[in-house]
Amino acid sequence: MVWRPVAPALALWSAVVLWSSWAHAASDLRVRAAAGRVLATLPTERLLPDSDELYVSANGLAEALDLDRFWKPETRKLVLKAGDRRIQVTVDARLVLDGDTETLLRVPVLYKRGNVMLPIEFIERCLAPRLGEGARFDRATLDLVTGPADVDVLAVDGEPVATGGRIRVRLAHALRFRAETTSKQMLRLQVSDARLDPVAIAAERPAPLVRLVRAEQRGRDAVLYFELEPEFGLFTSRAEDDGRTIVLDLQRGAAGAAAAASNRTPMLRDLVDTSTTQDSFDVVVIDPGHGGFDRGAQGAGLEEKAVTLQLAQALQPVLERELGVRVILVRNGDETLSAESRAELANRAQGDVFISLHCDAWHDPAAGGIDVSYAPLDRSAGADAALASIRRGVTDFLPWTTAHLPYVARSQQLAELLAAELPARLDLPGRGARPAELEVLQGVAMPAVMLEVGFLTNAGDAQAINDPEFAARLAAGVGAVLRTFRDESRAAGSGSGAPGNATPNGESR
Amino acid sequence: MNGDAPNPRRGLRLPGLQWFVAALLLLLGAWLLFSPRAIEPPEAPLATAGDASAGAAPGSATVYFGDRLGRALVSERRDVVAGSTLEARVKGVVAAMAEEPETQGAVRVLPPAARLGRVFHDADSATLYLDFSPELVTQHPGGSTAEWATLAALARTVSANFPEIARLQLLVDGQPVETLAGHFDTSQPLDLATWQ
Repeated sequence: MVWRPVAPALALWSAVVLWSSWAHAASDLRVRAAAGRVLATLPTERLLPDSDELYVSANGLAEALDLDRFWKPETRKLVLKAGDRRIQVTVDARLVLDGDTETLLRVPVLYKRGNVMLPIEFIERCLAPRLGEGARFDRATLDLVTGPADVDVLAVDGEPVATGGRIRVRLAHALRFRAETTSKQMLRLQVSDARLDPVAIAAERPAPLVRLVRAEQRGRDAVLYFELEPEFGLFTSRAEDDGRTIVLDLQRGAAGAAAAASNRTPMLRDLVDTSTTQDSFDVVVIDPGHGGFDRGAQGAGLEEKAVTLQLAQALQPVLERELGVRVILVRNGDETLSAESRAELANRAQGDVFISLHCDAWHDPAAGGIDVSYAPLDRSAGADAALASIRRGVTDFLPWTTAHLPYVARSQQLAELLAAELPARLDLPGRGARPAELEVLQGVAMPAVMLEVGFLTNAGDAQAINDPEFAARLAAGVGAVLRTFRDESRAAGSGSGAPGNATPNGESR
Repeated sequence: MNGDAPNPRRGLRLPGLQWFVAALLLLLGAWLLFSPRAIEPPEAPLATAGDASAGAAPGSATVYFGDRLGRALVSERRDVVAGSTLEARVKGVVAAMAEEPETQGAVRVLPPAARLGRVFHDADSATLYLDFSPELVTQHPGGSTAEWATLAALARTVSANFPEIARLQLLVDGQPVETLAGHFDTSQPLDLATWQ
């Protein structure tokens, strides 16, 4: 029989084709704006032998939708931030947490080749409903539409010009707008009575001097944020095309020319190296400890969560006035927040300094005084490996516990300054500065300390804290320390061998 | 069996259908071996501690307390119940931590109402699991100093008396807790080396 010799080859070929088609013939997922423009195409694949469910890379999805993501390798948890929602998934688990909402998927989230893989069901049930007005997902076509169709802000594009870069914001019709710099590296454009699709507007490096464009719908207004390169100097704005185009001309500063010569493409992993430069001091983040059902320490009729909020609210205007910085409070009410949420908010705000305010407690009422803590330099192999992976570009995830490592030296410097200054200002004993594995500090990508302003279990400390003048004296003391810290950081940054440049590997940046 | 003499060549001549099935089985095996799948989470075989683990000398243990001002830990040598199992010895040592210290001015750093329930030992990962009653959290005084002292005293006491233990996982009612008082992460095992 002629067919017998070829039967094995035929069988092999058939099986390979069948298997290959089963495993890989999944369609691509398209992320597109309502207007039809495809923003990204993401491959999907089947990963479970007993399920037809398709999976897509969480990394790719987050990039396409411009979502912040936080990965905690110890617990294998990934948090995606969509608008003001934090959606948490766990590798090998089916449960998705979104605030108080729990969703049980039919199949688990998986981990493959260094990527967290999300089932399509996650996009359908958990993500698309959180993307904002107009967002929708069609399982049949695998189309994820990111926003409303009737937008007023149509597009953002840019071009290089001799003095820097030019941004054009295209509008459907003439609208009022206001442009301002909120820090040396952030330009904010607010368009009144305008609707936009934030995902469609987001862009990377649309023009020289612009690192990133992000947008959000704020009530009736559309707000666009332009993250600028360090060499940015100043900008001018004007309307063209009968008001249907907003033009932003960005110019290099005098100091920017040299920096521009060594221009390079920044990525998420650059958070480790350059998100907070030593001479950047625009945003101070104050974290009032505890809150909500977590009352913290108690003593002398005081609750730590209330004391820390009151002190933080007193610090805010004083520091803004004295230092000319923007002060952000992690909470401004009686809210329950996890340590991760606090760090995430600080990172999101691109803070330059993070101070977590607390009160202490001890088993013996004799213990008292001011304590300042900073995160120790974790030289574990895991931390070093994670940092090395980020630098090599193996992964764009920033492992949670490595975010703070580059700032440990400057955190210690800040802690020691506070520990030296505040006891005399507040007339309380000083307990010095010490390293401690505090969870809230580990994920903060900036110099960060925990300041314990006294012991609520100590009658003298509690009485001092309860004094109406205490907050003002604390604000004056913290303000003086931050001014010194800023000046020393800038002086160190202009020289070589700055303490903050030390990395866990002892390398110099 | 039909009584025919076996033909050695006949065994090699498989009909086409058999070749097809054999190829499919081969591919199925290869696919099962190499196909992508969920990474199995590391199992923690929470075997109850047995006699195999060696502990401190029976009847005597090093136990840690806090000093009066919350600046350091102080150690004491205490007589404890000499159990025949690691579980019993751990319970004896932790019970000693809950007693009043003998050192002048020293204080207990475990909430007095907290009770240690079950003790497990995972020899493979050198992890000790201590399952406390909820008072470990609800009766904790709070403050980073007191929380640090509770964790550090437990870690150092375990290290001093059970050198084969490298990691300590605290449980409350059988479940890991995120934190005791809002400052330190206790959802994962504590690496005892970093708490010395």
